[in-house]
Amino acid sequence: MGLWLSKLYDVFSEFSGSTPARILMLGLDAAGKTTILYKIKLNESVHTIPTIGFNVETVSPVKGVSFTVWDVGGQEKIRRLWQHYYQNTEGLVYIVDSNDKERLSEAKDELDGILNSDEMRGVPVVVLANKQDLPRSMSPSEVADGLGLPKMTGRKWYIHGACATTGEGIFESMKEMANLVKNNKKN
Amino acid sequence: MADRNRATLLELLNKPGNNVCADCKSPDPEWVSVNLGAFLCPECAGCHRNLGTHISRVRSIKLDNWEDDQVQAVAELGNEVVNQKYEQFLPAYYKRPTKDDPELLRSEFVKAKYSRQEFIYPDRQTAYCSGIKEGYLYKRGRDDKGFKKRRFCLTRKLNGHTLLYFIKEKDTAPKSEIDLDSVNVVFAKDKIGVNPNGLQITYFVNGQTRSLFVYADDPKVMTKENKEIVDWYYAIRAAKFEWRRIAHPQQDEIELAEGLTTDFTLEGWLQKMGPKKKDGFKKRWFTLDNRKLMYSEDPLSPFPKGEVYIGHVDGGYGVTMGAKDVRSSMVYVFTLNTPDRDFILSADTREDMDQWINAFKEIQTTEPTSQDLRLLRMLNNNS
Repeated sequence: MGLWLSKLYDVFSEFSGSTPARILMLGLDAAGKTTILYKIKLNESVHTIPTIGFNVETVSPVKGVSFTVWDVGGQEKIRRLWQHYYQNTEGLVYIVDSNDKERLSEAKDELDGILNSDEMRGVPVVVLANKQDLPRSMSPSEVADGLGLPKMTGRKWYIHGACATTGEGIFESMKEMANLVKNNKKN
Repeated sequence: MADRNRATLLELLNKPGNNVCADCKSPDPEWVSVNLGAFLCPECAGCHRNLGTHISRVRSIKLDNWEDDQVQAVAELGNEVVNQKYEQFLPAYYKRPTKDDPELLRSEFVKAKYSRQEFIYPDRQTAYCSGIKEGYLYKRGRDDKGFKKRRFCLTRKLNGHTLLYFIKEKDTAPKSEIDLDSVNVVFAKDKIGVNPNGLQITYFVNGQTRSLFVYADDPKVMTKENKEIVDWYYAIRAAKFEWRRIAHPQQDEIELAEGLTTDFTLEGWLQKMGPKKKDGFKKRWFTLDNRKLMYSEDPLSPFPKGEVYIGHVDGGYGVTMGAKDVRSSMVYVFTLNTPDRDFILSADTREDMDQWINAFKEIQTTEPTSQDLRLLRMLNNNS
């Protein structure tokens, strides 16, 4: 309990008063990015339509933590625009549809593309293996392997299973994002 | 190649059936479920994405690149083929979602159609198809304003269907017995603050319209499924439909299903001047339910303060901008004329005023039906 409190205090002292951390949220189309953004913002499961362009919200997923989250559409032709959002990004949230085994390699290719850009060097990544509620969905460790996360060097990463509609796994992951962003700033 | 495939897909949109959304029939469906072969609007595409890729895999014609074999597969299917399969047993009393319906009705329609496949296998419609249903709903009290859990029963009686509700679990005598004939049911949308997916059930009691507000889930418990309240909505429609079919066995099913429930034409806050001009304006919640205009102090009032029949222009009904001999700081004032009384009303914005005036004008230039005249008699009996 004491450790937990001091950890929380750490996070709190880092973010309070400063400008919100810039978080970029990407992933293939239909991964659940917009649903997760509004689950964090409103704690509600909203009905979404495919995002043409982007959504941006300032959110406070954990007490004392403030993020500006950019959620950019994932349709193939929109993915070319992702690079315009890289600058000054402090953390990447990458959403994967764990039910969509067929496109896991496509998700890996897109993630590699993002992380290979100069502007994203050293930026920590939190992967959400979303849609864990659906039948036959891949486990977070299967998703991690499919994305090649264990072999990744030069940045911190974290993966968590999630269900955007219920909120399961989302707030834990945002807390971890806050820690990773904070530690990255120190180094 | 990508461009050629896109051109082929855009051509496919001209095929009969593909020019409207496979689910809600709205125009310009530029999204496609690749595995189902259905052309979709963005809203229904959003619902398909929630089903999981094992059921539907959505791509955009304009924003995604297509492989040859994907285009080929979609070309062989298309909306007509899809609906011949997935809507083969779509009941006549089912309501296809429109843009004015709550999102819940659309998402549940898409789930029912593709995930549960209720319209391929009619035996999966048992939750609502028989017109008989029993279960618990949270109902707003008439006098105390909290929502309490009540047992509701939809049953078949000799002279039609009845909706009953009970106060205590073991009560055998219902608190209220509602003849389904005069019942209308609509989604209450934002009215019930604690639950966005409630229903407003209205019916006549002693010549007055009673509104019941109910919802199915306890808002304190997070539930993922909102199917229950939609099932109640369709159970009531199914029961009314069954009774109509018994009364008019020769009539076409589609005609019979018309107006089983009617969504309110228009709702909102207006200022209303009292009968004596010196009374001044008072804020009232107005609901226009086809030819019946109701006003009350609160959107959740069990009974309206007043209800007015809106007839045809030939019968002395009218609506005009402004008001005679009224001095007021109100800007958007208009007058609703009825043979008995002129109602002086005021809206907050120009758009609101125009909406109300247009709604009244449309009704006043439409010939009343026999049901409308029945409504007039019922309202007159009261005053």
